[in-house]
Amino acid sequence: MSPIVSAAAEHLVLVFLAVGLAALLGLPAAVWAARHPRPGAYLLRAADLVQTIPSLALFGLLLPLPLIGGIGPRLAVIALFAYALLPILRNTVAGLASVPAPVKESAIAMGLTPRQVLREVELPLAAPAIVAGLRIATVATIGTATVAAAVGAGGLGTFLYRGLATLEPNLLLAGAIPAALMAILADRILAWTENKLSQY
Amino acid sequence: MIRFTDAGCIRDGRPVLSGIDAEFREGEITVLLGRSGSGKSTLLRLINRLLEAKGTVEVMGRDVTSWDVYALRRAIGFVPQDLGLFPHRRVGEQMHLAGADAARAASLLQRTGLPVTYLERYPHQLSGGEQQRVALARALAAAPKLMLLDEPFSALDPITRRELQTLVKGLGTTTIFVTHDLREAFALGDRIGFLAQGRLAALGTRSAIEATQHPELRLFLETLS
Repeated sequence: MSPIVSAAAEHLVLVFLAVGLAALLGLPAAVWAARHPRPGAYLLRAADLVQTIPSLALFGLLLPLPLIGGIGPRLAVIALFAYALLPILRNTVAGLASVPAPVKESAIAMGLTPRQVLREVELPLAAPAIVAGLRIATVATIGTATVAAAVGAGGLGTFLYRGLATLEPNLLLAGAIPAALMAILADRILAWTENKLSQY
Repeated sequence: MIRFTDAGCIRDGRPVLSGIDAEFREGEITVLLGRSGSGKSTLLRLINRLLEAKGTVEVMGRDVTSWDVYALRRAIGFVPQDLGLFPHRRVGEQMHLAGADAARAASLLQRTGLPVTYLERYPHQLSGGEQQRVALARALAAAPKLMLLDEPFSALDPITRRELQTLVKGLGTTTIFVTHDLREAFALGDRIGFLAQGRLAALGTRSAIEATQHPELRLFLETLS
């Protein structure tokens, strides 16, 4: 396997794990935040706060922590997860809030349980916003994951760091072009999904 | 069928309905009239517990709080002013969610004057009048004992409105119907109730309502007639 393909595969795994984890935990957390606006606002603020920390600094701050820290992909996935959380949380909360009140009211009046209302009405109507959040998270994570090479997590960032150290433009392009293509492809696929979910 | 005993409702710390004592009889259509903000929609929502009542509200002889809330709501058909159709679900899917199997959904659609092929349509593919019919059919999906209709025909042309009024009249279900339209109230109502400032100012037959001395109701009748 060529080194670029192998680095791209590592990069993809980092992004997939981080965004997957953010979606897995972020979606239920967002539903909770939408149901409990006051404490939910604190959750969103906490996720906001993480976004304000420069990525390299966050990697550095997490590095000495037990269980989370240490050189390697685990630290990278946790840091990237923390970054991916905000767009997923915020868009899901906004999507749920945008469900028209009369639609929700008639679902409740029909005798549907809260779980059914969520599954049959709220989540499908919020789906385009949720996918938009996933799209932002994925594209941003593909970019941020290049920094993961700094903590020995591999990925396309490896070429960027080597290119910067040796001032070798070909190495920089070997990292930057596949990362950009990956981001464009992910963006297009998720934009298509978002569009499909809005069509009814 | 439905009994209110000193019932009311407080929203945002403010009483929007109070001291309601009334009985809505089985098989009757009761039309509620009143100015905007008089509490008509609130009163409807106390029956299916979309809002919680102060005092007592009984449905079919049982306090609404003693019902399983989901069973209570399935026993009551509800059509809000904005219809509340699910924009992402085909008509057939909405009817299924509301409790109708395919055969019942088809029969209800025909009963409301729509072709069975409309089961495959989305709400945005229907005209305003067709959406009202679908909302009515969906409310009937679970064979409710009671219908609550909150200004369902307010945005319709007079002909469609008349057709739907005839439909409601023919249902034979105990119905509480909220409207601003006096003509609609007289055409539909076995009895008519009038709400003013969160209180039930009058409840009676057309002749009793026309003979009322209640100043706000008199003003309402004179303005609208």
